[in-house]
Amino acid sequence: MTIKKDNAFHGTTIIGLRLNGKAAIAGDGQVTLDDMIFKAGARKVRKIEDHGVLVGFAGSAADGLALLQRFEEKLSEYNGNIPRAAVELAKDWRTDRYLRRLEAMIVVISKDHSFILSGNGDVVEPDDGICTIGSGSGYALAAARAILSCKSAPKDPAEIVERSLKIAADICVYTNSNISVLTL
Amino acid sequence: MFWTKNKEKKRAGTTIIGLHFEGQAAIGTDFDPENPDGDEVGIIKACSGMLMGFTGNCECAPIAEKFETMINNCENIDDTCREISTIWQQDPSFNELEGKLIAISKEGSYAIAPGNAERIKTGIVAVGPGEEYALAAIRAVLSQPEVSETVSEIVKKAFTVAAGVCVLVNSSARIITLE
Repeated sequence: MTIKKDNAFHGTTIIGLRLNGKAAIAGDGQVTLDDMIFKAGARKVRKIEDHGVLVGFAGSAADGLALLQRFEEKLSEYNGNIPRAAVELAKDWRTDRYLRRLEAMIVVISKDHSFILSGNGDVVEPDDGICTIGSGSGYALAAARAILSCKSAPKDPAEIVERSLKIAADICVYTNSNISVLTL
Repeated sequence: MFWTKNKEKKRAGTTIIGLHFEGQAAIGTDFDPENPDGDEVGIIKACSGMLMGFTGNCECAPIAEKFETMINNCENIDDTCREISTIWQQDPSFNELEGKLIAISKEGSYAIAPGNAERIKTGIVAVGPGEEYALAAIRAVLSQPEVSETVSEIVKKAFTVAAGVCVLVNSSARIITLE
């Protein structure tokens, strides 16, 4: 197999949603290497039981895990205070010279907060509680907003994220419909 | 959409969204004739039991008119769409024209580009900068167990969502429905 410079595993869609005091996150299962489907049943979403947090990562797998590990450390340090942990993590990028640019993004979602963290030290809290990352993020976001704006929108965030991700999987080639959903 | 071969080529322009669903049909555009943006136009028209939409540069207006006449006089919409795409590809006077044509009847939706005419089985046709987001939004609305919205409401919603995601889409859309 030829090794190219930019051969990180990529292409994923993760969608997280907070609604009615519940939170859900869904991720697809496809791992793509260039134009090859490397694996179809990956699990890209996790639950951090200790702090009641759901996370999902997209981008380079190793970088995603590194980012997640750093976030978990911060979360323990600040007793599960998610906004504080996210901001402190971002601060590290400014002060710590060892941190390189991690080519990954993670979604962090709890019952009260939702954040998108990037491997460059960016922290974003979405307005409407819908966090999407990855190659199909725009489609999943559009689908989730459309579902939420309907009169008969489901009350359960798990159903909304699953349906949105299904739609993103139908449009984005880097996303498959092998969906795993986690809820709080 | 089948004609978006190269993402880099995507440019500012007008978005047109068409939908036919359960015997109803609607089409909408974010193009504002009072306040045109560059030389892009988005034309939507109702003609003899059909809705047609055209997006492209201003010079395309004559071609749109020609196609409108063909659609108005058509007997078999499948054949007419195919004929239009052939003329568009082969006639030297149309060579420079970049644009996309949509035709929607109560029976089906058609997307036409030079040398390519396709019947869209799902009934959802979106062209222009926000097409993928509009497509995702409409599919999301139609994936409900019971759809209570009318087609024009769904198209309106698609524009709102697409405008919320894509900076090139204008949320104030004109929508016409097929009676």
